[in-house]
Amino acid sequence: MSSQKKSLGKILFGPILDNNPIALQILGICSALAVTTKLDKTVTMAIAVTLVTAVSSAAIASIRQFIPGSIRIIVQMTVIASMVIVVDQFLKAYLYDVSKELSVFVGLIITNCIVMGRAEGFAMSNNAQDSFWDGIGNGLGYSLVLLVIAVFRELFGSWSLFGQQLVSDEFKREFAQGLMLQSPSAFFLIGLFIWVLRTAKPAQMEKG
Amino acid sequence: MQRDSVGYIFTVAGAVCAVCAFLVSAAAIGLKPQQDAWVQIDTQRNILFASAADDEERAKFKKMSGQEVSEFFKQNFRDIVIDLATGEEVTDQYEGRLADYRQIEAAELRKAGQYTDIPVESDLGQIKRRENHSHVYLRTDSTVRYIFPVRGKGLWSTLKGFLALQPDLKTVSYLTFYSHAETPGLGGEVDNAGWKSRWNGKVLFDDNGAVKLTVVKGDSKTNSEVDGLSGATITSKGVENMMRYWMGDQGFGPYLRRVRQEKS
Repeated sequence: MSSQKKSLGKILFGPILDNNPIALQILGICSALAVTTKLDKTVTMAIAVTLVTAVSSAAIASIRQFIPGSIRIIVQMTVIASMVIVVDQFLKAYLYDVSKELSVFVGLIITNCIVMGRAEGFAMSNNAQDSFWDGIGNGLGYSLVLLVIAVFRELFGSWSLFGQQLVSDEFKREFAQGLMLQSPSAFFLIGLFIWVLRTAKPAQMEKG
Repeated sequence: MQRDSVGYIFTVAGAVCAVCAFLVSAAAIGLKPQQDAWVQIDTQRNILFASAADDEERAKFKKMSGQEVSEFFKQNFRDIVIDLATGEEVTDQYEGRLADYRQIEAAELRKAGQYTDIPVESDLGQIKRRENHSHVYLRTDSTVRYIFPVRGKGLWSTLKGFLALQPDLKTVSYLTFYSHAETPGLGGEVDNAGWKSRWNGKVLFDDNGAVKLTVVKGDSKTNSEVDGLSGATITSKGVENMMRYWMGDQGFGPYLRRVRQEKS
């Protein structure tokens, strides 16, 4: 993928706006729908995905010379799955309430296309250090989209941020947008996000 | 060895698995005490919920931190273990490991000597096995409550929860479920605060001590009928059967009789 050396800055910050995994590569949409109704869930998920992507990319990159081509995907999955379980165990031990709400979605990081995509697309052909920062960068790109969506969804869906209600109960009853708490609203918001991003950066527009 | 030879592939696969397995096991075992502490706090919080005098207190319990829950529990609750068959207290046998006794595991994992198979005809809750010893939680501050762990089959899943009784041991104070997998929006409404509050004040027993509480369709007419969940007949029936089982002779019946006798 990248035979010419990329600078650290580009690896780290490129995926945030220029090559955003959700907005440009359209990966990891599933969890973006599921965990964005409340900000505290979203933040935990974003950190978990970033960590898993970075550490598993680095691990895979450091053993990439030894991985036989025929079982490389299986080896990647094994490394990623182990990382996810470790993260899940830590959440259960230190952030029990959040981990209960996230329930299966932490486990489902295993199937998050971003993690897999970075392992196969970047880590297999770069050194461990670059792969680590690439993982962090892509994790941040993912987090940015998730946070933006979660702010809108929690704000308009339940008029609160981080679980702190911002308005009176009457106001909430009157103006809470139930749709915002449903999955389709995340699709609309991701769509709008991509629209805004591509208007600002026309280079990302697909040639039709 | 050649990079694509079968031997090499097996070696790499084996090595990767060994390292990953070690990491995962280390994390799981190393963090177990922390996780168990949370599970215990979670159970205590559910017991607090069940015991709450009103919705206001329930909201207070909901806001409490893990530390506060644990503290409140320690100060205001007594955790005892009883022999279900005789109704006698056997807490002494659990000296020092009271909180570690998980009765549902004793029955579900068939721990030797700790469970009894339930004959099919009397298995109202469809749980197949019942533990021999059960926790009972007594709230002893100004709000006196008896809290009993109950469980039974709904439509899809086993509902697990706590039933809180008033000090007269006849009247329901609250019923709460902490684990179930019923259909969201239908049977899943057993979790709904509105429905749970309908249990408050319902009388479980007739004058002879037999369970008479029923879950009915439509408005409840007597104080021993609870309005069932619409669209969730089987879940509602499951909750009713659960009550009949656990409050009957197979369940806490002997204990209830004994405590009532002691009181009068």
